[in-house]
Amino acid sequence: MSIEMTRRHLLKQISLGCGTVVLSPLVGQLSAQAAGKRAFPQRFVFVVKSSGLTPGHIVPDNFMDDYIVQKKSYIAGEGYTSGVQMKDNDKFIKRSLKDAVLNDSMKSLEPFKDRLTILQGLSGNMVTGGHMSGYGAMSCMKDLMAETIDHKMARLFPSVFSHLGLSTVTATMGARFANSVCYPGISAASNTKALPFHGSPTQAYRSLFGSVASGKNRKQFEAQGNLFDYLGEDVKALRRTLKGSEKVKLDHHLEAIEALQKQRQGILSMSEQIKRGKPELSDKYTNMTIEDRLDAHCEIAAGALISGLTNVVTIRTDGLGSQYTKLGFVNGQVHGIGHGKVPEGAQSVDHARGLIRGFQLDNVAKIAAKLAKIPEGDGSMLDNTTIVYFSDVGDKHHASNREWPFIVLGNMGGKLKLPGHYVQYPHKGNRGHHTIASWWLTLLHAAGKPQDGFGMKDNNVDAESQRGPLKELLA
Amino acid sequence: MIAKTKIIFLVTMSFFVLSSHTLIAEKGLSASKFKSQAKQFFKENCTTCHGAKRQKGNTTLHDIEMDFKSAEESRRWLAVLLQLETGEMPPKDRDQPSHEERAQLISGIKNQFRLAGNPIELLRSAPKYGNYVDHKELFSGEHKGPSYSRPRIWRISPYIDGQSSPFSLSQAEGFKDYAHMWSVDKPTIELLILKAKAEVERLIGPSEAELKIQDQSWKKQILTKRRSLQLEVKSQEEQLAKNPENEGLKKKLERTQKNLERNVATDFEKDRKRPSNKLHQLKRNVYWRIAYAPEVPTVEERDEAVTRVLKAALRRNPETEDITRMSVRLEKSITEYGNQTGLQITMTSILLMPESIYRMEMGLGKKLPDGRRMLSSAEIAYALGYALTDAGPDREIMKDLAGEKLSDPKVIKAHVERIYDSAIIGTTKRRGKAERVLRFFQEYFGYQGATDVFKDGTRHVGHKPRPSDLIRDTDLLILHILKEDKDVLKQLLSTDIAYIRHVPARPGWETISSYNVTQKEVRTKNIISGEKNRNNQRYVMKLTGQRAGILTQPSWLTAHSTNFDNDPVRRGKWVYEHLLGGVIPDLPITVDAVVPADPDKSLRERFNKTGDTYCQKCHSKMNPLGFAFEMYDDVGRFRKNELLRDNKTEVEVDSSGGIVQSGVAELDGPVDDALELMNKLSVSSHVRQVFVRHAFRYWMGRNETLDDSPTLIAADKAYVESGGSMKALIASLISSDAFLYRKD
Repeated sequence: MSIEMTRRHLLKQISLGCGTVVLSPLVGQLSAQAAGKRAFPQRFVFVVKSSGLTPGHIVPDNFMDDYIVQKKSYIAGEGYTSGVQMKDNDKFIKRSLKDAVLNDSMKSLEPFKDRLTILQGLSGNMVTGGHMSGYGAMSCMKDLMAETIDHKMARLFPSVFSHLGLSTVTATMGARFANSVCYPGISAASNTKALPFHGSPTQAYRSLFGSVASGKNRKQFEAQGNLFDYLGEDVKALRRTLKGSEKVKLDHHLEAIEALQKQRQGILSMSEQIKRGKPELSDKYTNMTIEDRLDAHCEIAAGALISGLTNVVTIRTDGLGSQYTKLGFVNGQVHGIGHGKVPEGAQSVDHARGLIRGFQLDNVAKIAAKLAKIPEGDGSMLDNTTIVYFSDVGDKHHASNREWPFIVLGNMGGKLKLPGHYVQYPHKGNRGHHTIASWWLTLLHAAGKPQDGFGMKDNNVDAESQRGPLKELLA
Repeated sequence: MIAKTKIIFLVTMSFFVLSSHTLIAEKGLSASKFKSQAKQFFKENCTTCHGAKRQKGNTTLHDIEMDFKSAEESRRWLAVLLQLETGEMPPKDRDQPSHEERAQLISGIKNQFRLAGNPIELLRSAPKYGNYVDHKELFSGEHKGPSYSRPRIWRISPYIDGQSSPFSLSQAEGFKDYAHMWSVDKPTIELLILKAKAEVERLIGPSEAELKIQDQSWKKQILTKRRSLQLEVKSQEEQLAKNPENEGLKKKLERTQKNLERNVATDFEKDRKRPSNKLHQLKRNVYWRIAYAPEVPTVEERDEAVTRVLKAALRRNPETEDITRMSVRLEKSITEYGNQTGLQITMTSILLMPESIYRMEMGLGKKLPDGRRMLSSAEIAYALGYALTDAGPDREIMKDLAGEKLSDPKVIKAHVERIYDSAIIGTTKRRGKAERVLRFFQEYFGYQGATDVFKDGTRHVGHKPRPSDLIRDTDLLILHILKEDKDVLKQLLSTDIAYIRHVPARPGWETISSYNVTQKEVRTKNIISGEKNRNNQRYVMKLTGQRAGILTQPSWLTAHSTNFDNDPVRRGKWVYEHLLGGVIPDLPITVDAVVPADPDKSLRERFNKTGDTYCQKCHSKMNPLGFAFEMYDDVGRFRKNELLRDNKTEVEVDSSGGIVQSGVAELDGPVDDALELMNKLSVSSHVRQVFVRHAFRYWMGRNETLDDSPTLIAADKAYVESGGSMKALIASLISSDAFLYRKD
């Protein structure tokens, strides 16, 4: 009762503050709630690492005997193969994580164990393997550009910024830090349009939180208003000289600029909400280390979700050229490590990879912790947030894509019957095996947009099991 | 950030005023008179089958409304118009209205559309309606024009805009970039702003403080590298100690030692690569000076800065007027937001001026007595440059622009020939580019769709070519024909040679199984030795008796197939429209087209099950053309037997087909297979004219009208007289009135 009252009260206040142009998704949610409907948007964070995610490395320590064989270690130069490999499995396994001792790299996820899923056994051979699969990981369309799952979700759960891309590197193979808009080549809106990512944390900060920032950033956001005016002015000047369909063309152009101006006002009207999510600027936003970059990007991601500016974030954690320097080893370039070069200070390649993975998962945990603190409905924002951690290639540095593991935190507001489990599907070649397309289909299904197939099919996997979602995971 | 550009739906435009003289000529009836005329016509000719009692084909006309604005009624009227124009209705075996009655109703319907603000030319402005203008009339020589295009702004294509362009193109079959097709929507502008901002930041460069930070990370990188080199030297020395005789190891160690020496020798203050050492260079940059100076910039500095950005954005020398306006804008922005932010938004706004997003073809040149205005020389320079390339006008064109020679069609022709020679024939020293020429053929034939049709590999064991390789095979074949530049269309439709990708050292990197040849054959029977191009890794073979032109290339056949089968309907439709110039209406929405999947029947037998007379009206024209291609399977391999859906039984292939109701008596008749069909079509003058019409559409960026008749006839003549030269055809089109003149 009291919650209901508070909501109505809040709704009233926000509506008054907003004036007539209401773009705030928050207001929409609240009014729906006031009318008795649950209408929280589903939020998604896709955290995409490079160099593969080795299945053996995310099996809980005390489950290892059941699922893992220790093999002789990797052969340097031959593409990296870890010493820990999965036993061939022909059964569907679902085992509670309650008593699981998580791998060292996953320790920071311990507090979220009841929300955690380790998803194993899916394959992705419709997609090019090797160093990278490009858009394929999220589109399942071989090496072609095609709409990726994060963009599909962004369409289903739109907000002021429908898709927020954050990347530390300009390209998968690259070493360069991205310092402005970049196209890391993992997300696309269609077969002709790659999605842009923010490379520079400061730029991303400015564009998202500039409206409520102070100093130079605030000034830049204000200047945006003038920019739209200028753009409109120039289009109008040309429009006066035209007739007929050309004039209509510019009318569309003008409408688009006006819509942007309105969006900007919408952002201004959301300032209370944005203030709540806005992270504090610090050195890490400008520091030139991969560790600081990722940390800053993750802060921005959490802030953008909390403020309702976006519901879908994709984070590109690193590239094959990225050099880690703060994780207890030096000289650790992802590509080199992948090829079996043990960086100084690390005990082995597996150890170094573990440290990198651990660092990335620490940041995932930070996002989760922030969202868990923000109340929403009877619980917290984290209840309606799903974080998917995976690699843009499958199982290892030179991936075969025969295995493609995922670490999932969250259950799409209860739509997925996942959390708290170690889930393993039968390996390729066994009955009941599925591809990663089935996993993306599961998300679409749970989001209320069921479809039959996703991307291309793997000709060596039973066609029927490539149809529809993973039924075992749907609530 | 969804980025979608949308096609303007012209039907919704209610305030459009078109004063084309062809329309003015039709005085037209008032709405009430038209209504009684139409009702009378329908009663006499149509409503017996399409009325209250019978609704053949689910179509009724007794209840059609006189509403030419609503989308629903407009759709019905357009269907009626098409039936009247093509003479499809009333059916041949029924009483026919007189020619005058038919013509009267046709012009009446067009007039009503015009009065409603939806002129028929606009309703049919999409590429797929190109054939709706009567072919015989177009080439009759009776229509004297004059020819012109409307003044227009043409959104820059994604090819011109370059990598990561937010602009999109149509995914539908056919030409993708008509001038009127695209506008810019919100997500696109958002992306454009992001791109422009990044560009502005790059142009301005880092501040001194930012350079200091970069210095630190640069230094750190060198030290890390040093550490790594030291370790490498150590490990290589150890290896060498174990194998002191190994020359390879010795050399490797020497290299690493040298690298280390160079690294150690780095002078952290003076090194050229130290970011701060770029400072003196940056200080020469007017943007940098303005952005980071403590004082307000002078008028000269402002003018210099805006002139430079304007030049980049407009791809030309800006007018004084533009410079003044932007300089004032810069001053105002700086007053309001300070130097850096003020400069940033002004520069961003300039990069996003409509002129940098659209190509302008307004007709700013001299005016003729008949009201047409020529493009100005500058407009011609850009229209010409972008007609053939994505890079715009080259140095030679700009030279002629400065020399004021560009308004002469002969000069324009010479430029087209020069660009074609350097890019395609390769006779000149400097090799140019003409990306848009090959793209015409890609969009016309549509073979690039091969990558979009998913094929289940289990049906074709051991056959795994990449569709992208097949497409490239066809690209190279077309370029080969364009290079010869003789009887281009005939060659395109009937050549028996094929480019075949084969990389002996890398198994699987080949398309040879698509062409039914063996590895040994491609090596021994390679015919054009000079063209065994190492970079393209392709062999060239004569496949006489199996292939005849682009339509028999595996890429085209795959692009025009379904997941499991050949698609005779799409293939037939393509031939009927693109070679015979016919009109096939859109699939009626009432039709649920399904081909039965009987496992024991051939595709032809399965098709014949759908022998409904209503369907046959269109399918009798398409299917016989498509069936001629049954000599290939759905991945484009030549075959004698067809494997049925049961994946076991094979039956002999029947590739007989024919040309039906082409409108050209000498073409109609049966054919044995695709080879005969293509050879017949490749020498037809009618087919040649249809091809010229398509080239016109691509290079004008619009559909033709009867006024364009002189331009089309001249282009056709140029092609014939030059012995079938594509170069001559393009040169004729680009120096034509339709290309050079504008009129509202």
